[in-house]
Amino acid sequence: MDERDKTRHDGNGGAGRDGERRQGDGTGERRRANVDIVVHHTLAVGVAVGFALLVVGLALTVAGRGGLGMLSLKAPAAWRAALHGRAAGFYSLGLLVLILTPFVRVVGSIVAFAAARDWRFVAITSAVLAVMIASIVIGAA
Amino acid sequence: MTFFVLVAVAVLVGILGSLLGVGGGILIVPILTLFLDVPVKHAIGTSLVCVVVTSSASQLVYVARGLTNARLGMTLEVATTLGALVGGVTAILVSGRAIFGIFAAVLIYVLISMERKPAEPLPAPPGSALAGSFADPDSGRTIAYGVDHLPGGLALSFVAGNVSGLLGVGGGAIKVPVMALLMRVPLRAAIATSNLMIGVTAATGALLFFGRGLIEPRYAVPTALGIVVGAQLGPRLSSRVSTGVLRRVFEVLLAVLAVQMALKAFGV
Repeated sequence: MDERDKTRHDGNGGAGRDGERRQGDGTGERRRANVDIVVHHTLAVGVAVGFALLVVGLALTVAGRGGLGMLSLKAPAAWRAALHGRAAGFYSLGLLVLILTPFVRVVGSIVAFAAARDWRFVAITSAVLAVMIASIVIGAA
Repeated sequence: MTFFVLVAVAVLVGILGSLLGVGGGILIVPILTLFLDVPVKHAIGTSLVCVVVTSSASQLVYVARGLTNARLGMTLEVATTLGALVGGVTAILVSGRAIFGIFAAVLIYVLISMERKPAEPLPAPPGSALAGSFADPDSGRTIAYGVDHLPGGLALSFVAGNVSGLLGVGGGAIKVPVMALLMRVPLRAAIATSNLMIGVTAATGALLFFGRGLIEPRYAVPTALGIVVGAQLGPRLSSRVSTGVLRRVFEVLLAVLAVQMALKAFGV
């Protein structure tokens, strides 16, 4: 995100929460901008890493180190396969990183709201995280 | 062979989706099941991965432009993720034929909602905790808005999440009108915020499907790679194709797929 975008965010933030506006726009602006920056960075890194893993997998398939067979691996098995240089491990890890990216975004938002002492949104975002954890637990059960 | 067919299909879906501003999920599941013999639950898992990836990539642009209302999105996400969890568990338990039937109904809903163009209400007055604002790219003015009807918005977000987890779609066709018409959020902010929610909602479903072994690299890897390539190509082609024509093509495609999915539901 470049400087111009940041300034624009600060311009938006003032209309954030009732109380903050009266306390002084500076604090409210920074708070909202921080959450947006966390969202932006998490998504950019997640997508890039996920794709890099899939591309490594494809390169290994081309090099004859495993194809795209019917083989969906759980995280630990995928990790072991990747360490042994098998394509299947990179495919499963890449897909896992891509679908975990929004999950990490939610964790990052909780941290950003906590840093801003915005406890109401810490609670709301934690509820979202709890549902996502439930889906991981139910999926693995 | 199938690998390249899947990449090609996903590139086309990515181009179409990015040019028309619709998610690819609504096309991926029918195409994979009807024409490429992918089992329906694997097709839903594959589609959920594509929806997550497309949402993450588009969100980079929306957040940078300051259009996303993260507070509103995260509040409604409580309902959409719960809906996705329930929908995902339902999808794993019910028969494939039931999924085909519900999918046909949703395709018809999307077709109808594309034709209907209700007038956008005036933005709700700002002042609540969920209020937001953004710089309007057309006028350059800052548009501040509030949020109306939160309980109704939460209830319908649950439904949108449910459809997402059950059918492997993003559910933007439900979330955007709910925010824009019921909650009186300006359309640009509603689209960006819906996109933010779609990522988390589809990821909730995808995590469930991943644990159940329903996200097969054989289908998901080529489709995910292709859809991102298509989404990058789409905007570059936009000056060469007429959106009006494309829209008609898309509507015909939706109608054909709806009929085919309905036939599948009845075992034809």
